[in-house]
Amino acid sequence: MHDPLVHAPRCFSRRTPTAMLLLASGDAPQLLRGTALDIWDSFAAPTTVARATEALASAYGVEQVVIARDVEHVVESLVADGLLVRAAP
Amino acid sequence: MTALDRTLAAVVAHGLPGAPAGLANLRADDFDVLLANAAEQRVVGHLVAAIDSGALAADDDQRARAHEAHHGALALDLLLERLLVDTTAVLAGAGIAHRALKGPVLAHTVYADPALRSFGDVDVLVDGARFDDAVAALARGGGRRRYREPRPHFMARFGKGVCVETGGGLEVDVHRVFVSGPFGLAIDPADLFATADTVRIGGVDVPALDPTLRFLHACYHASLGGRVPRLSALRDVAETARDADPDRALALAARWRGRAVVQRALDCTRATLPAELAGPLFDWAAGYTPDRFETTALRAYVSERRSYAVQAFGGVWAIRGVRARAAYARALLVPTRDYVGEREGSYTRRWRRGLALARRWRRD
Repeated sequence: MHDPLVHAPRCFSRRTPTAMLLLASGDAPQLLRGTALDIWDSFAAPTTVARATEALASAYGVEQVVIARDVEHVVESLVADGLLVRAAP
Repeated sequence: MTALDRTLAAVVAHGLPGAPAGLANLRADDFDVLLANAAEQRVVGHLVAAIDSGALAADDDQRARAHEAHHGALALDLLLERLLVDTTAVLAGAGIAHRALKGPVLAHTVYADPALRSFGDVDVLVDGARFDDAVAALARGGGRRRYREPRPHFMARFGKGVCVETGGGLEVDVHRVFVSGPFGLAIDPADLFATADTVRIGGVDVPALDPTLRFLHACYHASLGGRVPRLSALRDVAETARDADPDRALALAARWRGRAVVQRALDCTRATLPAELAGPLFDWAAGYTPDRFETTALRAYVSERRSYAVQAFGGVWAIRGVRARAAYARALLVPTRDYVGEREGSYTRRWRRGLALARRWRRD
């Protein structure tokens, strides 16, 4: 989780006003809402979880420690479904 | 058409030029029926768009239920798009020319937002000369052909196509042409592969029909896909008509003896969707008179006696060349034993049925 991550190149998605559905290699699409959507958007360009957490904490005006676990949890789930992949060096 | 049907048609027209900006308020139980009908017609995306824009009034609970239904439809769309991309990879790997059709292609090309256009299966068009190879390639990947054909290579030569079920319960319709029966047999498949376009789906370039052929396919699907056209099919006609080359579309339709198909699609779209649908194609449709072949052939698709058997019988007259026509008739009259066993049970019963169809065809 220390390497930069980025959206999978082969990713199927739909965005609605309230949510986003994403599918890569998982069995079923993931439905993201609220802050999970912001976390997803953080990885449009390659970045590390630490840097994404820092940027999101700054945007929300909270301490990094407050959101770090949530970010990690969402990222783990996105990686497990192949939606986030290690960025090419 | 009931008041609720008209409301759903207005919902599907939402976003088109001249579509009603505000729709009548609905009672709670009417909203439930509208949502169920929208799901059945695969137009929940339009319903959500109408609600979110304020054109259709809905309370918080109704809005939430519409969004939930939409998310369910979109989840299926994504699974099908992945299946399409996988299917394309299999066909490309086998060196088989193909084109993705309908839902996923239209969602990513003609609609303002792909979330508006949901679908229920994957459709690919393959070159007839490699049709059996395509089905075999998909079967090697775990697919299962759903129906038997009357005789070997019948579909590759005369059929519309076959449905291949995948292990995950999803379906790939492998097409040779757009429809079965006379209008399908009158299409020159070479025209469908004379041009090519690509559409990017899930980060992958997928081969697709060009915009004019997309319009023609939308017309064939809307006109001939059922006795009453589906609302999503009519919206497809309205969307694809914008990008089609009218002269080329009508020239191809004439070559395929299918101008009545295009006319019916355009007329039904204009009559059903409350919007200002104008342009050279709609103008042409208002003044076209179908010829005898078209009038007769249309009956196989839109009359109360619509059936695959009626369409197959009517197809005899659409085939060019005596030999080809004889081969077609032979396949239908004397199919393989396995085929007859699955259907009529005996050749005698099949011939009696054929005779009855022929009498009905002449009488009508």
